[in-house]
Amino acid sequence: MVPASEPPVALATNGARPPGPVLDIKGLSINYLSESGDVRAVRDVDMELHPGKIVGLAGESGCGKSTLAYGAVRLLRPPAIVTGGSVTYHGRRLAAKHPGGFDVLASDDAGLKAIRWREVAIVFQSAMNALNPVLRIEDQIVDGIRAHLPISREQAYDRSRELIEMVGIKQDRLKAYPHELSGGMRQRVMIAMALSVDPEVVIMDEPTTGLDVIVQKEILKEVLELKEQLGFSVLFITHDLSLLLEIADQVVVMYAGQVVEQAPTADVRSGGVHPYTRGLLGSFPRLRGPRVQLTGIPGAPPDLRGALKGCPFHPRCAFAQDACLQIDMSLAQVPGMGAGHMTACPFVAPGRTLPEAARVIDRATGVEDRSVADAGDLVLAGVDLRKDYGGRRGHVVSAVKGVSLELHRGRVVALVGASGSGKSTIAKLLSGQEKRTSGTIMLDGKQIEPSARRNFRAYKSEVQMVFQDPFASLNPLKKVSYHLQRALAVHSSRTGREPSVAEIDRLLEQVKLNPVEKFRDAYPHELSGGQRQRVSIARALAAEPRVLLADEPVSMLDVSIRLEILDLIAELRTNSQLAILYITHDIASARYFADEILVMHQGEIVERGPAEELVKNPTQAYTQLLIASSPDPDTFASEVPEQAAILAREGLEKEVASE
Amino acid sequence: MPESSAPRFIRGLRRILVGYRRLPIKAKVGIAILSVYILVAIIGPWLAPYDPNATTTQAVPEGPTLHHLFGTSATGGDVLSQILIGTRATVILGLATGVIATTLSVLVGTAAGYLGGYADEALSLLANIFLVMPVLPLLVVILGYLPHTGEVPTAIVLSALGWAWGARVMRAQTMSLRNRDFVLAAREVGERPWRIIVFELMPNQIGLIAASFVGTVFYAILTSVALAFLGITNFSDWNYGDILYWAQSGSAVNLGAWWWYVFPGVTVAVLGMSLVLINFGLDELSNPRLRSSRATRKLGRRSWRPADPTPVVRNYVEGML
Repeated sequence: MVPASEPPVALATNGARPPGPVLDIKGLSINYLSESGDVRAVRDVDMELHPGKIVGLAGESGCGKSTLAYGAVRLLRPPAIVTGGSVTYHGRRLAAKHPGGFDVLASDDAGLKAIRWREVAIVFQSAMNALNPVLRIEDQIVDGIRAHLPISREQAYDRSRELIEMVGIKQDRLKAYPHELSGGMRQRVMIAMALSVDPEVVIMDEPTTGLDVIVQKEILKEVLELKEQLGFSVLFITHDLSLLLEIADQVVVMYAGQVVEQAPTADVRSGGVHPYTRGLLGSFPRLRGPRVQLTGIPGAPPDLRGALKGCPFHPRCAFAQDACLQIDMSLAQVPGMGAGHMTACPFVAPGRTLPEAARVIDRATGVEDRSVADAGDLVLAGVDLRKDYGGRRGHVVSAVKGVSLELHRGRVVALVGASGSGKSTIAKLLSGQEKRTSGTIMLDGKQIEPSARRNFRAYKSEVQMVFQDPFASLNPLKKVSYHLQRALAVHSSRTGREPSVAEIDRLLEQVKLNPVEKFRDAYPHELSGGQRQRVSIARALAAEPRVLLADEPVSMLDVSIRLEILDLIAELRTNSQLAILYITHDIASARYFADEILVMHQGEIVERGPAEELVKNPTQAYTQLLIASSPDPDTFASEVPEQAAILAREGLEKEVASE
Repeated sequence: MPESSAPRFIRGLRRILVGYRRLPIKAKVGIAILSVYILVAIIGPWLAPYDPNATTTQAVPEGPTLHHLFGTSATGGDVLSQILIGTRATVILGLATGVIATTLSVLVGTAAGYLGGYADEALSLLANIFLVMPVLPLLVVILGYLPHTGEVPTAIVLSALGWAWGARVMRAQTMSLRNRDFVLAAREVGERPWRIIVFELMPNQIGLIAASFVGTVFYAILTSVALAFLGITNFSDWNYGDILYWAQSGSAVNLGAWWWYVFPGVTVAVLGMSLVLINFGLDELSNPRLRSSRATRKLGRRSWRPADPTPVVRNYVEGML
């Protein structure tokens, strides 16, 4: 035990660090054993994390970024095995004991226990699952501290109060249980726990995914400040490259288990050199500058079983050539760029432009027209919609407080708001999935009761909804053809289309699932997220509706394929003249393809206007805050306007007060 | 066409075999034991070496001998023959109760869970009433009153009193499924509620339905044995409970005739165990959490517990582990 005279937590440096990286990964390879062939998830990866720096690890889902990070501290369970390489940790506190650095891969369980949390801590993606629901957060923080430091309970409680203030939460919230905190606050608690015993490395695995952009921005700022203050290093894993551009010092882009480019953030911000990095950057709709047609990255990542010949990205690459199959994927310095800018593509040259130069689609160019003035016929309108939950006993929560909106033929209206703003509830009210508390729904100017049983099918043949989660919205036990066949059968009397194979194929072609034979008899689990979402859209189209309600249709998908789905929906607007309600938390994507934007906050529409207009000149503080908080590759650490910043702080206070 | 139907039959058989091989070991053992009972239920009467009702002039039960492997009753009835013949009635009763009670609980539970509102209130109330009924006294009263006409009336009464628990479980499961997106999506398509229940929800509850079925069979067999032991049974036919009843009324314990009650007792216990094993196995199938708790994996010569650090295998060649 430590004598009481010593400071409660040994935060002081005791030992000098050798120069060089704090975490040094060399040639790391990780396999997932499987009967149908091992999945080689991480292939010979080198990576360095330098003290006090933030390294961002980016890539699509399945690219191996999380496997790399968890494998490097040996947190993966069999069937995962490390098949080669070295991981060395150079900590100050361990410098005396391990002068050459701590060899993670050679260590046993006991050795690793001394490293984990004390030296390398982790902030998990889902704070709700990582926190124990039956313990007060105070006790969880204290348990964590006392598991690693020989200090008394009182000292640990002192430390927990210190920590919770440090991450911007008031001390009295320490007595709360996890479910009493908002998502953002839970994630702050996770960060406090990670920092509780002063680790030198913090692995952050998608720490802000699932949080609203405003909260995300606050937390990222917090992390940056704490890093300056305490001097730890961060390995930041995310699928959102634009987020890394705001906070990381260095960006590592992974594809198919390999590093394809690593560079100082500034170099990536200016475009990166590897075609994959460029593709990722080109997948983010921008909030500023001209509105351009984005390309995304067509295709899907390769199967990671077995060896890959040459560059794994070549089937999706705009610059692919025969020689791509011969390269060995080793990283090399990019000529003409700053030191440390490495890429695996030997054919890049700075300044090379994409073959299809970005197409500007603003009104001025005449490529695509969108304005409120030439709106088509009004199809569906909600007037003064209201939805209260609760009642009977207990208090009433109003999710939607008197919202009116109009959907016109051939136009996309975007409903933008944070989670809990009531935007999804509006979709459910308009689709008839839920009964509204009050208000009117008008179809073609006539009042209608969507959820009434006698109207339901007729209404469904006019208004269809596409769900957010493509993994949950298809029955896992049924084939694709079943889903489409049922939708065709239910509406065949109105559409005059038989539920035949030919009609199923026509629908599959309409959503570009080619070849149709392959998809017709597939089960949902055999499809990628993007393909499933296409099936969901095809199912909605089977009724030949005039209104499509799309509830966050791309938020669960990888950035590289979001655009394809959005473009598909945009095409339905143009070709089939559908009236579309696009619900999203991402105002940049709303700007990308909506005609009109409604901003929703706490059950009310706070601002509405033509998309371009609203994004350029937001008048309401909340809209300004939303726009300022959205990660944007073009502007580094964009400043939040003063008025909006006040609103953000008030929001945070309110969050604390209400819970 | 015989050419195409034969391969299809074989293919179906193969699929069943592959499915069986993937089952947890507990379920495999349980199914194997249960299969023996079902086989005996079918062919038992032909296997039985003696007439179970045969009486001799002897006045004491005879211990196991080569002629009477399980010994005899006090009146000289061969216990082995009684068991072999009694298996049929017991198994039929168990399966019939399982089918009827599970059907009832699935219908009531799924409808209550999916429809919600007043339908849920009414059906739940019904289930709750049946849950709090004292089942055994009621059975004694009802079956004692009914004429002894065989297994089917008993099965119906047992089902009527035993469906409620399964219905509660099905209701809970349905309520968790009904707000899943694919069910909402089926509503969005415009499907009728009954179609959603039968074609979207029920196939996703197969594991639970199977477990509920097995549990009900277990309950039915134990209850019927208990009833027969109390003398509430159809004495014109043999079942396990009858043997125990005669053993008890023939003072088998006082006479030291252990074979008279131990053999039928163990027979019932093993049947019950096989059903419990199957249920555990089904639980592991439907609840991955139970599986991961036993997920020690063998890698090479070592087995790894879930909390162990990631194994490092240098010079790894695919397939070597």
